[in-house]
Amino acid sequence: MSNAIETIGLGKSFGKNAAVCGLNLAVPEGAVFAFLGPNGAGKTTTIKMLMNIIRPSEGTASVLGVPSTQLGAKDFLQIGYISENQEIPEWMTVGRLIHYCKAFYPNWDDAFCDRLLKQYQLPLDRPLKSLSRGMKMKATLVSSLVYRPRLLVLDEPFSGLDVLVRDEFVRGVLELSEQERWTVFISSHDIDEVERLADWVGIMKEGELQLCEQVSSLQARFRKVEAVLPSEGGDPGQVPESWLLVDRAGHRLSFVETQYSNGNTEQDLQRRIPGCEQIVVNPMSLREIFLALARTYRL
Amino acid sequence: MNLLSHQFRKDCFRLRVPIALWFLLVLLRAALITPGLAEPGEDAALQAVYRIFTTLVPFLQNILLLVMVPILIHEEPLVGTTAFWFTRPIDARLLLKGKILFIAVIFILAPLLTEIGILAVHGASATQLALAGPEILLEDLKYFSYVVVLAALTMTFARYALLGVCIFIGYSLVAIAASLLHLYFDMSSFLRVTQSPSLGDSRYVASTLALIAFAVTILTYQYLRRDTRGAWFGAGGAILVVFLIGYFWPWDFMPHRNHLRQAEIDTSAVTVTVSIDPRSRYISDVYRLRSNEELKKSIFGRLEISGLPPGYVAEPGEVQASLKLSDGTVITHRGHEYSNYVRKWDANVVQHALSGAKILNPAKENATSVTLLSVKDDLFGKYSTVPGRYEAEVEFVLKSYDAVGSLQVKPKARYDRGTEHAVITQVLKHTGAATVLLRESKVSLFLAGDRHSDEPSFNPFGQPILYVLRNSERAEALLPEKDIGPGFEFLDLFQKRLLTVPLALRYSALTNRGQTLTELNDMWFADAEIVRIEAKEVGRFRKSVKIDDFVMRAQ
Repeated sequence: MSNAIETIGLGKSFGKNAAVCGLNLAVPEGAVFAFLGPNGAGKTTTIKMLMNIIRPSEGTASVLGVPSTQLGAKDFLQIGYISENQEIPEWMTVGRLIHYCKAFYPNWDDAFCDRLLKQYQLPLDRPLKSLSRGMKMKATLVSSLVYRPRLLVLDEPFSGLDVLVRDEFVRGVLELSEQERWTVFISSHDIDEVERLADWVGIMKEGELQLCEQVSSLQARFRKVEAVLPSEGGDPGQVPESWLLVDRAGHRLSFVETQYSNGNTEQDLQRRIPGCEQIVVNPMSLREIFLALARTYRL
Repeated sequence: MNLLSHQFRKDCFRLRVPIALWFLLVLLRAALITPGLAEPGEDAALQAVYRIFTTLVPFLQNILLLVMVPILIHEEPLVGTTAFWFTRPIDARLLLKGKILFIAVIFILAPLLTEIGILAVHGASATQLALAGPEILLEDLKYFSYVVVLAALTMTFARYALLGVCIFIGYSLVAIAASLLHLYFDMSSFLRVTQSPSLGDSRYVASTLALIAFAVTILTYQYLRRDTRGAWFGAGGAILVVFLIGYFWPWDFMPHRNHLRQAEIDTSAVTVTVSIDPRSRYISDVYRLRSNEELKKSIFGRLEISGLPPGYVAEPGEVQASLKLSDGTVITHRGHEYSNYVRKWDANVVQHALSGAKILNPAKENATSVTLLSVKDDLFGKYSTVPGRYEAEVEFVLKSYDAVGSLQVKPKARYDRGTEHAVITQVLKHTGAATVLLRESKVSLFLAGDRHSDEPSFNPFGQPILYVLRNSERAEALLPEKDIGPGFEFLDLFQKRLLTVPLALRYSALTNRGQTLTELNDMWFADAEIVRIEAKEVGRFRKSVKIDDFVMRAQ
């Protein structure tokens, strides 16, 4: 499977401050990639480099096989981009925005457009400036989906949206990406929003990529471990790096094992803490994994 | 669908209200300066409204343009990282073409065609119309260059406006600093070395073309690269280069219009002497700009010119003089008489042009009073009464006065010749006097040689036209009093190529002592007319003046 997005040593500095540093990333085609990280982690800067909005200071990136610095008008026929801080022509009505955008896309699907407009209940005759933030995002989404892009890039699309709109938005993107086999690259600092969407996850912190993995692989190696410690000598000492969120409350120990393989964790725990009893190892839901990662990386 | 037309129509729709206003102003401007509508006749209030509008409309047009251009460019901003079009299949070249098309059609072509149409209505010849096009383009694009580049280098209207104000303040400060420098250093010799008017025109054209070329380059670069920092550096460099071209461009490719050749008429019989009348000589302290400048005195005298053919007048221009004293001291002087700026009409020659009508109120001042010498105070103190040999080489501009037409003394009477028009709007009769309100219009094209690049369109003090009130039956005539009328303050500052100037001409048959020169009543006016006399420069000639026993302090 080829990669829709690939970066090698990608970096961007603003003066002496490195916003993104040595980013190596591969987003397979057809994946829904959640690009997570706290505010200021370098997610938006990365996306702007990928979209050729800003030029990298170092490294290279390719998007749909084209070097990002050479992305031009014809390449954006296959890319849909929605960003929380993108400036839309607010003087236009929804209908005029659709009419304006349509001219630039030969593969514009009118029926699909009508369906989405109806689904999102967008009023065609109202100027965008008079619409709520959620409605504006929906209008932008429609104008970015109806030409069936191969790659959909969403930069913090949920900021400022209420719960209902978020849910509708997420469901819409999820359904369409599944139906159309689009690659979706979605950045967010809010893990709850992308939990349902993603099958790949990348986590940025302070301009560096901390983790990049398929969700199924994460689910295979993440386990919630709980055990009862012996009354004496129950200190595990230096815990391995693969243990996250280690918590000891009285005689009970709990942690998240990030490198689980069948039986290894139990044996390792017994070896470290002889007399350890009632070891329970449970698989984790995607949400629980995300929450563990979020707490660890302060997302 | 043609994407260029799609983009163009989108921009037109976006700016539909200001475009409508723009076209309204273009039409209003055309209506205001089209003959007929431009003559509100005797209605003074309507004339006042007219005058306000003729100034206000071009002003509003400029303001509108300053607002519309950034809105147009900022529709798809070139600065920042949040523009909608950055991630859409919208080609930068297409956008650039769309913006240029919009500017060309709305801002350039429409006013250009309208103005050419107006010039044609005003009687402009084919040659003038052919030259008007490039001139309008040159001057409009020059203005546009600043506005478009500023809009292309800013992200929002607020930043554009703020930056525009900052640049204006910065430019003003530089201009003030330059004028202060002028007080202490003579920059003129550094900046405009031996500049002739035509070289000045050449530098103006060359620097304007360079400015437009740089603006197009920066705009194209910014659209294709979106490198704002690079574009700013480019703009800074361009301003420097344009400045250097404006002051140091060496190639004088514009025609030498005002470099009059030798007069074609025979001036060998013309003799020039310095009047020996002591009343014609006077001495004056020379104004000093700074206290450390040397104290000087100027010695003025009147030149007496004889032998000129009838109908001609000679106005002194450059004077190069020397005074050789017996002890070997030589005092030299080089000066220029700016007769063009304070025009004096020779009553005798005017009278000749009037076919014998006698001028009842000839002006007392004489046009041929010149600075014979300027001398340092210490030398003046030492030699003011010492005779010496005075020699001067004086260049004269030869002019002929011609009565080119006449108007009846009544409202709506008019004079039309080519692109020059005059119409009387009101005649106010007073006891022993009359005031004629008259409006002139003329086409003034820089490329056609009607004016120089640094010359004002209208010089209220040096118009080569005189309106004389004449009664042919009585063979009497009155010169207008020195009054430029109310027109000056109402000048259309934005309209250079078609100038409309209202004049108030007051003719008085009363002397300062209350003496009546003639009975200026209805009977007199029944046979009266306003004669338009034009002074035409026909050439130059030089004459030497020598005085063996010249004494600076004449007795």
